[in-house]
Amino acid sequence: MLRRRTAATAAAAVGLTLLLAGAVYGQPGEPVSRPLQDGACAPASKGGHPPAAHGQAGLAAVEGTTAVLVGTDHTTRTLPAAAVRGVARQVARHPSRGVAMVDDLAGADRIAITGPAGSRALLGGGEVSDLTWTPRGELAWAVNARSLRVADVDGRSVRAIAPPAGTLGAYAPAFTRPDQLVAVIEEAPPAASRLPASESTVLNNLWSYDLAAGTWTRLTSFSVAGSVWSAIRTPLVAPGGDVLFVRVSGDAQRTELPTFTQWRLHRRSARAERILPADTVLAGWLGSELIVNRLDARRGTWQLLRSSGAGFTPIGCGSVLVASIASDPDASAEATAPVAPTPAIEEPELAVAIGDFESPAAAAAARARLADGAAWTVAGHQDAPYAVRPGAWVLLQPIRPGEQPGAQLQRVRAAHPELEERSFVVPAVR
Amino acid sequence: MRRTLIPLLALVSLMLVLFGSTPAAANAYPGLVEANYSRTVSPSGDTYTLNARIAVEVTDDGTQGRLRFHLQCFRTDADTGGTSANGCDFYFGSGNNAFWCYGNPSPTTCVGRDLDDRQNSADETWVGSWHSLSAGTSYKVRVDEFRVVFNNGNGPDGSWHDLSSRVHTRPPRRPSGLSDLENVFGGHCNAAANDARAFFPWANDSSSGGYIYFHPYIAGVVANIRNKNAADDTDGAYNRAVWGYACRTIAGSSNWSTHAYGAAIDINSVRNPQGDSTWDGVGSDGHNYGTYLPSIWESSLIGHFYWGINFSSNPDPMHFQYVTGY
Repeated sequence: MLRRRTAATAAAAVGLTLLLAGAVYGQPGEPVSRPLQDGACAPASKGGHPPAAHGQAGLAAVEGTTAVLVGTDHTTRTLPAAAVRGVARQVARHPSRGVAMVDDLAGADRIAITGPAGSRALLGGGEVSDLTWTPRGELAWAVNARSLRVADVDGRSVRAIAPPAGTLGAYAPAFTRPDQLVAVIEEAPPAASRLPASESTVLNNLWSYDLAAGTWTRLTSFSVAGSVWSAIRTPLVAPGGDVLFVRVSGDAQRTELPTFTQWRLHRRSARAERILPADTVLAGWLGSELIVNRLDARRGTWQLLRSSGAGFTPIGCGSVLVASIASDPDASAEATAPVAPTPAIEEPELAVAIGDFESPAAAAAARARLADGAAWTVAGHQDAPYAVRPGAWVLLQPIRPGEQPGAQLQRVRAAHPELEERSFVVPAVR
Repeated sequence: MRRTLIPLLALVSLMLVLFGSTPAAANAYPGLVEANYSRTVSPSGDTYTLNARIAVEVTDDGTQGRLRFHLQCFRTDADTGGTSANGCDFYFGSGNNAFWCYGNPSPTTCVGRDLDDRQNSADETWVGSWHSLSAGTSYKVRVDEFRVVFNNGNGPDGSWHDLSSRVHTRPPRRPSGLSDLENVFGGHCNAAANDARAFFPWANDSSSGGYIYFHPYIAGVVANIRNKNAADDTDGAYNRAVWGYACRTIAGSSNWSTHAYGAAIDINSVRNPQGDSTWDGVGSDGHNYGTYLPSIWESSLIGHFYWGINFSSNPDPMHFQYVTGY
């Protein structure tokens, strides 16, 4: 496994992609973020008269566990929304239909709706995401990131839309017309087709779906190879009818931040527009302003930022097209019975390993080149079966008393920077 | 345990015998070490054996531990070959001779106490005081200088012995929620997220096994799991395919997979794909191990991982993550 590579390499690759893509919008190659103040979701303000569930321009978001409306003046006010039983995960607002909220429960979720006709709830059919209204007031969402649902205006009939044949799932619907949507399709790369899908994205493309004909049409043709992956997030219909989306791509085996790039789909032609700061996705429109969401995972917030040619200006907090990151009731801790270790259990001793080497002699030669070679022992699979594979050898240095394994690894790497890619913390039980 | 019920029953019986009359019902004995010291006397040819067992006794919730030391005396008749309990006098050296040791990552700090001598018994157990066990800290117990005299001085005098348990490491705190995950493991795809590795059967779908990468924070619990597999000789319970670190987002979400933090490992994924609500325990050796592997991975005393089969709306039986609420 290659462990890390400079971010410059990835940035260069994206820059090249932008150039190859032909017409480029915005300012490619230059991340246009402006750092937020520490801990700030400012300059959002709250209070005043609560907005109506429907009407009044604005962008609905979930801030923490509360539905809010961000106005065109960037003020934030609490939205009247139906009470949720679990966690408010996402909200969508329609000018005349009202506010719909994903009520994330342990088990199948529900959708709580508050509008002119009062409050009601729809069964989500599973884990609900990507809630959105159609232009004429139908409600659409994704279930388990596998299929789509579209409920008619009164919610009495719910239509299920399966993903295109041969693909793994469909989600993130965005309506380009009342009878047509685009959605992100989870595809399996050919090499992985014999293995089951994991929880992670490997390859996404955009497809359109004709609700009248019931047919899917591919719109983009991204591909991947090896451990490289390519995701599409937050497709968003622009005022002119184009679809903006964020492509996220990276190498699953590397420890470097994947690249986030904003793309524009015009008819059936997709073009890269600009590089986005890490963890930045699209949120929606406030008037003519494009609003984005940026994840601040350490603080557990989604920041809202106004996008302009000059960069990104924070206007508040709240998630729009993406799920809020409040604690997930589907993954709550449950008491588990302990399993008594057997009498033969061995010591869980840890060590720093340098390797692999193709022979004991090669390992010993490497040890001889280390200034602190005496602190290392040569070990093969028979000596340390979890630290090294059969047919290979490593150098082992036990974790010292009182030392954290990661800290000792860093000290080793500081002393031997040439070994950074070949040093690890390992179980060293014999 | 893995192929028939007989070894399991034998183990349970052994544990009951090992620790005498009334060990707490659900307590565990990690790090247990057993030793036998025998002497054959003439002219009878009978063999006198002292069986010693020492362990860190841990409450079922894993929060409390103490020394547990057990001695038994036996005599094996040279003529019949039969073995039976035999009376002994138990002696300890002067001063502190029983030690409770702790430390992170190694148990290098010890506190001692003096165990009491006991006479005319075949089976005695000594226990220490209960101690609170800290997450991520390792514990070990030992007894120095113990001996027995068989048959109230009429049998052979044993030699002085020392005996130490193996190390028991209490799994470190498991974070809850995204912010906590980031604070403990660092950001997604960070440089430390794949700084630890372990050899696993079927790693990355290789039938010959290979390395699984993860964050050093969980290196101790992964070591606990692999130690348990070795003790039970159950590498055959693993099956296609085992995966670790992967810098990827969750499908259908802008959230990062717990694999991107080096905080999750998938095992036996082909037989246990996402969406299945049951666990298929058939190993690569063809035996059905039932829930042997998941029980170890999620045991609060060994792996302490959260099992993805418990994702209430979209179960993921292959998936084990060291975080809840995310």
